[in-house]
Parts: sequence; structure tokens; C-alpha cells
Amino acid sequence: MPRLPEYLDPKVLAKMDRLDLLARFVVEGYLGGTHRSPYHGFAVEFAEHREYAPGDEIKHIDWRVYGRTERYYIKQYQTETNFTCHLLLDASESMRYAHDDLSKLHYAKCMAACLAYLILAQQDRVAVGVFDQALRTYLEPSGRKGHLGRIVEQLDVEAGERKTDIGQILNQFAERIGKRGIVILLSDLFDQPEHIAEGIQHMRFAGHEIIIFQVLDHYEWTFPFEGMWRFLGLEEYPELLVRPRDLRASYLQALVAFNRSLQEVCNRNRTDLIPVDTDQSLDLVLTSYLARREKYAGR
Amino acid sequence: MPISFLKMAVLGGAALAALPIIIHILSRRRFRVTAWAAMEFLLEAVRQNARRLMIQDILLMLLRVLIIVLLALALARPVLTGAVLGVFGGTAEVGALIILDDSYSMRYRTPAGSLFERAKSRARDVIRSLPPGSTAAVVTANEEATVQAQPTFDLALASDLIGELQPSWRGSNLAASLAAAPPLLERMAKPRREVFIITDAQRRAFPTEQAALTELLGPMTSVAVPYLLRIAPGLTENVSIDRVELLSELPTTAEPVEFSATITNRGPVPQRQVAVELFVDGAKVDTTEVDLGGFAEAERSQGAVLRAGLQRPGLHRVEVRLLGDRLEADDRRCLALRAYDRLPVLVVDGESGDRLFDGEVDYLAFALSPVDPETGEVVSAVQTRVIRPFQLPQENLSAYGAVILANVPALPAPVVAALEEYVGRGGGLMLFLGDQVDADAYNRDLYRDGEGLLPGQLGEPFGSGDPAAGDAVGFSASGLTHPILDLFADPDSVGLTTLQVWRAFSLTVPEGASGRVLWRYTNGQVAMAQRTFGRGRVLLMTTTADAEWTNLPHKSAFLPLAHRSVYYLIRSGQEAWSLAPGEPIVLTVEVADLERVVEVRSYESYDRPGGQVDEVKPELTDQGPRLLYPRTTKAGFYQLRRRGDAEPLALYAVNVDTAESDLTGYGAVELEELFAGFPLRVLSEENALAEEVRRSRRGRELWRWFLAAVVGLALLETFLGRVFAPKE
Repeated sequence: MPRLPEYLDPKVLAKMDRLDLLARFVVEGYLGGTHRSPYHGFAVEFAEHREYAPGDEIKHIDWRVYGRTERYYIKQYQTETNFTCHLLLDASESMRYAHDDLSKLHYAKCMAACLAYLILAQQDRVAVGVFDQALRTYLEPSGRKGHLGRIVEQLDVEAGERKTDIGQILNQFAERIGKRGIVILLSDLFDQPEHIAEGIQHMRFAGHEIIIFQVLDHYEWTFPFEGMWRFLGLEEYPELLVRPRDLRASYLQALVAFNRSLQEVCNRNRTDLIPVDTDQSLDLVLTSYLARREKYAGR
Repeated sequence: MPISFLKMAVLGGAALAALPIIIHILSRRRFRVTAWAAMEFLLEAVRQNARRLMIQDILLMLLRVLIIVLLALALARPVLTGAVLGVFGGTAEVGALIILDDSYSMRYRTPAGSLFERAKSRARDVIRSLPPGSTAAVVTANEEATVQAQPTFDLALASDLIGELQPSWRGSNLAASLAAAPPLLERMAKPRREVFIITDAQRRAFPTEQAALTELLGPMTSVAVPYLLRIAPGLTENVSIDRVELLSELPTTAEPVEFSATITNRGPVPQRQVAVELFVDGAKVDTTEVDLGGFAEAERSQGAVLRAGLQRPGLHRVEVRLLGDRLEADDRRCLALRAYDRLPVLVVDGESGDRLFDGEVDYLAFALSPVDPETGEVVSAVQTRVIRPFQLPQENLSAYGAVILANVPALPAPVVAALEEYVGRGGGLMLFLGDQVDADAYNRDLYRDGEGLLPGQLGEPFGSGDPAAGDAVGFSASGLTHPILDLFADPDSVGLTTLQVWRAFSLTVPEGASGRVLWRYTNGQVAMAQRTFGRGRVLLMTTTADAEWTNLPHKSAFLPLAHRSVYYLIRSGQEAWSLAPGEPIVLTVEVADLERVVEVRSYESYDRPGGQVDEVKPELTDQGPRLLYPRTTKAGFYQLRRRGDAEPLALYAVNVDTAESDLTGYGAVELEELFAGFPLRVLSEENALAEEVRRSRRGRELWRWFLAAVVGLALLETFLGRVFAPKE
């Protein structure tokens, strides 16, 4: 049996069927004790002040109180309980792509399992939706023990043959989720940026927080092909016989332009957009994002 | 602007221009396939770049095609000819092949020097006229073509080499030289190739049939411009010695030896009282005169008889000489002669007897070497040595003037080979038959379907073998013109009618083969036949040498018959010592000679010994120990002597072929007519060569321009390739 760090190698991930086990290994074995949930900093409420004692973090000192009283007081927060996180997994045809054995969909499923485990471990509720052009399956939110198993079952889907329609899905969810919550979208985002923008705006209007993991294959990020290639377009695109080397610069330019417009949309709507390369190890992706959230929350 | 190509075959390389297109097509066929999700970005990239990429591809491919086409054109050596001005103008570099007639007729002396000196001067004019960068090759033409200078850029060297050339002693045959021209021209890849044939234009040197001329000139004129430079001898006066022969049956020291010389007037002017001199070993011994005064053909050729007393046995240099005319090469003729006081003849006795005249060869040996009954001394120069057949393999046959086999059974293969070698080199062989002879074995080993020694195929013997049976036949008296038999032409003088044969082998001599019937029996069967084998002769008597099958040995006719036969055979050996210029000496020597050095001294003529001495070591060849000497290029004597020996080993006479002595040549007009159908210019010595030829030497090679274009395009292709390359 492989040792834990090896599970985090994308090549090993590709062969990993037991997502619940994987999630446990990753979160407990690798992230355990070092991070809190991704919504820490958003899903917390102010509780009280207490006087500073050695060992407290300086960043938590309330300088306004100090201004008034010239004494050091620490702000104390309390995590809000019974918060709901909605994991939305894109299972459209484009998510099937893999330059080796690990498809974008599988990588996204692993991420979803890890995030679900992490959230459940903090006694919060997790709901899971799988979609392409429309919502394919949905698991109602729960925070009970054993919910992870159902989540994993829910995630056990194959990529469909349909196009993705993220704007439509976000619109549907914005209305469907009653209580304020956090929506984590795992997708390659191969959709019209304006559609995506519309969905995000709708979500934000409904008071939800959105975190988007843009999962792309390493080859999609770098387009490193040499020689002549025939590209068979997924999601109803035509075939194309080209010499990729000649087109690499233009391709990357188009990708960067797309991502820039996405980033603008996300910035406008205070939404986290995290680009993910399937060649990156899973823990690194999660660790770096959680570290960023913590820093953000601590400000 | 006519453009031609020096290496036309290379033009085919232009087909390689299809290579970039083929590679492009193939590369589009060899691709890998993948499903692809981020198609939107790829399509966008294609939309932005398709047109630019297509134009770049086409541009690069065109450049590559052009590079290959221009490279093929450059390698094919394009030449711009004709009067073209501007940067392409100029004088073409020339590949000049000079064919210099060096046959001995070119030795003809004229007031302006010998024809050959004039021809050399003309050849150097040709070299001087060549533009810088030209190449020249020199071939001398006699009966064979000899490349004296391979194609060279060093024109001064070629000119010096021409200056050192000497005329040969051989006849002329320009056909051989013209045939050698195309390969040399092929090696001189120049915009213009020229062939200069410098000759006295003797009629005999050219084929006269148009087909033969076409065959000779065709390959040459397709790649080169030929010129014929005629060196005219003017009025040709020439008297030649065509033959010198030994008249005496056997040259001995006992009595004067007679020679006949045939003298011919080759010129148009009658020659009277032409002095003819005989020299033996460098000393004048006899003089006579011939009158070649008439204009009739029969009076233009006369015989002269000269005599010499030979003081010692052995080899003698006999030379007949005329007082020199303008062509000295044919004014002397050499004869290598061995004078005998003893003539060794090997007689092989196939059936020896116990008592005198019982043996097979007793009569023969006695007839050849008769003993004076009063003094008990042998009175003939012929010295016979009688051996048995089994002793044959140990004998050095070349020590004998003739070999006689009498009633010898089948011979082992090495002996047959030795006999063939001996006769082939000029030895004489005589065979008598008898009851020991196995006709089948003789036919198999000695006749060999006409390839062997026998003049005909042996059949069954005829006649009872019993003189008393009444079936004896006589010898025919008709057609006896052969030198051996002409004395029997008068039947009464030697008692021809008394000769009887009661048994003999039948012999079939095929028509048209080299065998010849000399004498027949009265029943029409062959009595004596002869064949020439190599340089030697073979005589075959179909009956016995003893009295078993014939009464010939008992008759007085037997003595002259035996002697004349031997002399006839000997003479064939002496004729073998006469060679044509360039014909190599091949002499059979003893095994012991392999360790010894043989000196070959050449005597160009009696009064100009030449003094050249070469040293040669005999070699062991497949045929046995041989002395090989190929440098017999000059006419004259070649004496071979083992170093340290007093007596020479052999003597050879090398004489010119006097067919070359007929100096009748084509005139300028006749040559124009002869070559009317060919692009060959005939130039006489009066023509200013340089002006004649230079006018037609306009032209320039273009390969440098093409190569420069190739380099330029290659650089452009590299540059564009870099510019078009995707930026990382």
C-alpha cells in the first residue's frame, strides 16, 4: 500500500477509487492541525474582547480600543455553527480531458472529497451537486456522521457528453439555496465569461460566498505539443489538424485573455478564483489556498 | 542566349526539387491524435494565424524547391555560348585533346624539319592558344593510342612533354586514337572541348567508308569540336626495303650464305642505280645496285641478291641498307640469323631395334648426319641426338633446331604442352607415324579438333603392310611446288616413281584450317601435310621413318627429303626472331637461368648501336621459366646475353611494317570531301591557328552564379525560418 505522501502525487490520485479514504488521508494526515475550514474568516462572528496575554498573536489586537484606553485588548471570534457549504462539480464532456491518466474530472472529484471531509470535520453541513448543461444529481446538505460516504457516492459519476452551462447552474442554485452559504465550484469554466459572470452576480446578490477552483490539465495550461497533431474537439467542436508549435503563443494568449476576463468578473464580485493545474499535488493546491484564506481572514 | 550543360546527366537531379513538397505532404500525413477540451482557444489561435502560416509555408517551400533546382543546375555546369555581351561575355575555358600522329612516316625529313617536329610545333601552337583555365591532354597515335599527358591544367608541362616526344617505329591507325578520345574528353569538363588531330594525313590512316567514319567521329563530335591539322610532306620521295630473306637452305660457316632483299620505290619519281648494301655484325660485306627506273608498277619493286661468308657459328646481325633518303626508317631491314657448323636435331625413337637399321630412326639419323666412309667423320652440319620417348620430359627442347618424333606412342600431357610451347615459339616439329601410333590418342592430344599441333585428323591406316601383297601405292608427282618437294618435280632426277608405300595412316586435313596438304600418294591419300602453329611449323608424314611401311628410306630421295624438311623447320625458327615494333620478346630459358641476369642490348642500326643495355631477370610463369622483354619499341636488333657469358643467348630483329612507307596522303580538298558530313574543320599549316580557333571560343560557365544564388537563397531560407519560427 502506498504511503500517504504518495497519495498526493497526481499519478497516484488517478488510480484512487476510495475518495473517502483519500480525503481522510489528505486532511488528517497532511493538513490536519495546520488549517481550518476554507470559510474561516467569513463564517465567524465577533464574541468579546479580552486583555492581551503573552502568546497571543499581535495581529488580533484591537487598535481602536487601544486608542481609547491605551490598553491591549484582543478581539475574540466564534465560529458560526450550522453553516452550509455547497460543492458544485462540473461533469461536462470537457472535464474528461487528460494528457495522461488523470482527468480533470477525477482531480476535481478528489478535491471535492477532501473539502467535504474538511468541512464535515468542523461540524458544518455539506451539499453536493453534479452538473453539466443542467444539474445531474444533488445531495441535500447534512453534517451528520456518515454523510461523507454519501457524498463520495454522489461524486462517483462519469463525464457526460454534454456541454457545460455554468451561468445557468449558478442561477439555479442561487434560487435553490435558501440560507446564506458558501458555494465551491470545481470546473474548467469552459463557458462564455459573460454567462459565468451573470451566475456569480446572481449568487452574490443572494448573499452567498463563491469560491471557484478552475481545474485545467497541465497541457491545457502550457500547450506543449510538438509535431503534427489532430485535435478531436470535445463538446461538439470540430476536428483540427495543426502544427501546435506555430499556434502556441496565440493559444496561450487567448487562454490568458479568457482568464483575465474571468478574474475581473471575480474581483468585481469578491469571489476567489483559484487556477489549478492537474500536475500540481492536491495538498499543495489546498494548503496554499487555505493559507491564503487564513491570511485574508486574519487581516 | 544558347545555354548548354557540361554534365547533362546531373540535370536529372532537379527532380529532387519535388522533395520539399513530398516531405511537406508526408509530414501532414504523419500526425498524432488527441481529444481536446480547450478547443475554443485553439480555434482562436488558428483564426489569427492560418493565413500567415500558409504564406510562410509556401514561401519556405518555394525557397527550398528553388535551392534544389539551382543546385542541380549548378552541378550540371551550365555554359552560356555564342556572342553574348555584358557580364556573361568572355572567352570559354577549353578542354583540348591533341592527337599527335607519331607513326614512322612522320619521320620524313623536309627542309623545314621532320614532319614530326613540325607537328610538335603545331601542337605547341595549340597549347599556346588555349585561354587561361583550360586543360590539355596529349595522345600519340600509331597503331595504338598512347596517352602521353592526362588532362592537365599545367599547360607548360603539356607543352614541354610534347617537346620531348619522339616518333615511333610503327604504322598509323588514327581509328584507334579516335576511339580513345571520348573517355578523355569526358574528363575535361569545360564549356568548350576541342580535338586537334595533327597528322600527315596518309590515306592508309583513315577509313574511307562513311559508316566507319561515322562510328569513329560520331561520339567525339557530339561532345567536342574537332580540327584536323594537316602536316603536308610535299613531294614524297621514298624507297623502302620491304623484305630480306635467307636464300640458302641452311646458313653454315662452310659456304657463303645468300640473302634476297626486295626494294620498292614508293615515290612518284623513278630511282636509278639505288645502292643496296649488306652488313653482317656491323661490317659491310656486299654491295649491289637495283634500278627502280620505270613507272610501271612491276618495275617499281626489284629484288637484290647479296652474299656473305659467315666466319663463325652462332648468332649474326644481318642488315640490308639503302643509302638514306628522306625517310630513313624503311631504308634498312634487319635479320637475326644463326649460322651453324652443327645443327642440333632431337630425334625421338618410338621403336628402337637391336640391330643397325632395325630401329625406327636409324635411317633418318644416318640420312641427317651421314658419315664419310673414308674419314669416319660426320659430313653434315646436322647433329642428331636420338632419345627414347620416356626421356622427352627431361629435354630442353629450345636447345634444338628441330624435333622429330618417329612412331612415338601416346604422349603425356606435360610433353604435349612442352611441344606446343616449343613450336609456338618458333620451333620445328616433324612426325613420322607407324604401328606404335594410337590414332585416337594423337587426335585427342595432338589434333584437338584443329587447335593442336597436327595439321589434320588421323583415320584408319590403309594398305596391307606387306610389300608383296601388291597393294602398294606410289607418291604423286603433281603440285610439287613446296620448297621441300620442288626437287621431286622432275620425277626422274630422284627416282620418284620407284618409291612405294604399303601402309600409311589416312589423314583428313579440313579445308580452310591452318593445315595444308603438301604431298599425296597416288591413291589420293595424304602423304605429307604441314601446319603453322604459333611461330613454328609442324610437318607430318603419314607413313614410317623406317622401311617397315615404305621403301622410302632405301631410296636416294630420302636424304634430300630429310634434310630439306629439317631446314624448312629451322627457317621457321629463324623467322620467329623477327618482331614488329612493340611486340614483346618471350624467350624460353632453363630453370637455372632464373637466378641469372640477362642483358638486353639494343642496336638501333649497325652504325648507331644505341648503347642501351637493359637488365632483365627471367621469371617463372605458368608455362615455365621465361624471359619477358617488352621494350622493343625501336626498329633494330635486340641481343640477349646472360651476364658473364661470351655467347649471346638470343638475337631478335625488329623491323617496321613498310605498308607505312607509302606516303601518299590526302590533299586539303580531298580531306574536306572525306569529312563533308562531319563538323570537322581541316586546317593546313598556313592557317593562322589562333585566329581560326579563337573566334569560336566565346562562352562562359555559369555554375558560380548558380552556386552563389543557392548560397544566397539558403541564407534567406535560414533567416526566414528563424523569423517565422514561433516565439517561445
